[in-house]
Amino acid sequence: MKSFIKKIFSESDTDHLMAENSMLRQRQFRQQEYIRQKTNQLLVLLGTLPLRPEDFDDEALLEEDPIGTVTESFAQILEHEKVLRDDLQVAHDEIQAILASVGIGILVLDSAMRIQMYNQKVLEQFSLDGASLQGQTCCQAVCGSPVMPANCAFEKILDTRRPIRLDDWVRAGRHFEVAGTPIKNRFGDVTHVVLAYTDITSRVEAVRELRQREKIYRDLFDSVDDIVQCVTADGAFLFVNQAWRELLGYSPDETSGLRFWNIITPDRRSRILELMEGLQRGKRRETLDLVLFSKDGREIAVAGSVRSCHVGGKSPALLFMLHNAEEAAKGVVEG
Amino acid sequence: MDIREINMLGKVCPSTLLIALREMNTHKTELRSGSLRLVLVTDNRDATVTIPDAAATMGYAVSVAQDGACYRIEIQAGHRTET
Repeated sequence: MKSFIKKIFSESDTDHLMAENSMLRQRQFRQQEYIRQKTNQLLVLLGTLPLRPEDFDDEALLEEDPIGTVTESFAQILEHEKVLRDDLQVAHDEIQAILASVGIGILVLDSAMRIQMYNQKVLEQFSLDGASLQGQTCCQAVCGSPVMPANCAFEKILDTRRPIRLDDWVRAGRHFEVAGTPIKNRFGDVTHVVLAYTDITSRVEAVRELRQREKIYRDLFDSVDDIVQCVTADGAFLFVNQAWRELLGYSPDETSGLRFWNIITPDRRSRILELMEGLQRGKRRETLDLVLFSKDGREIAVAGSVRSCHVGGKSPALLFMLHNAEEAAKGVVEG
Repeated sequence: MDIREINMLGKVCPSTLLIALREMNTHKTELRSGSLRLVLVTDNRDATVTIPDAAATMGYAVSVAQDGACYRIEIQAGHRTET
């Protein structure tokens, strides 16, 4: 062949053709290497191994067109990503609507305590400027402090990786119930924390006021000489006054486990139930006399009145206001 | 629903993935519409990870079941991935 070429072409032409041939081979080699390299980059992106020469020789590399295959697949991935993005946008809009409509303040923090999302309610609750809230740390924005305060819900969640609830968290004189929930990645690490704040200031104030009133009534009942007791339908004592405890000798702890039926004679139980029924039917007040057993076994005759009262919206209880009949009789005689 | 079964026994990565991708590209319309289910039979364990991952990223539902010494990878319309 070489001799044939030499006959047709001159020495210089032959050298030129051989050089050109070599250059074309090198170019083809570079192109195939380029295709192999780019195919491998795409395959690695898809999480698989690079091409092996025994599976795809240089000829198969062009015929099988792996770049074309992977590119088409990427087109499908992008189409699917667009669908996912649309779905995510809908989900995002739904979450925003839910955040806006709930009556509690909500903060979503990242693991570095930076605020990622919040609703209007939280701005109102803590008198915050919404424009500058994004990216601030929770302790800066809500607590106004560069460091985490004591009893910090975020810190507790990061420590325990569990949801927590603070029943009465106070900030700027207002009381909040705080429910915190961690969001974890597939390795169990906390990536975000959701904090929900319910303003319970009015409830706390109402409870405080109720306690004050209760104390007033308790002081009032404790200051009278008559014995006062409030008994439920099943005989449990809801309240007894100081005179009752002094007369019968039971301590407050003992009273909590005691039943009214334990300190009266059995035959009077049916009378008490009758009274209860009468009061439930609308009778305002009944009079009665009883014998009570003291802790040390003494029998003490008492008399007085009983009326119904409702405790906590539950079934009616009986409020007894009694006096020691023996002492009263003595007083009459002495008088 | 039509079923198209592809025998990939004896093939390893990345050939198995390239075959699966080519099938999903060629039959994209039928797969998306739910009129076709692709069943890939392989004895390459790596393929039970790479193919489901790629198919799920492309938006298909994938399930993998062991069948003796082989695995059956089923690909169809949907979002769910089950193993």
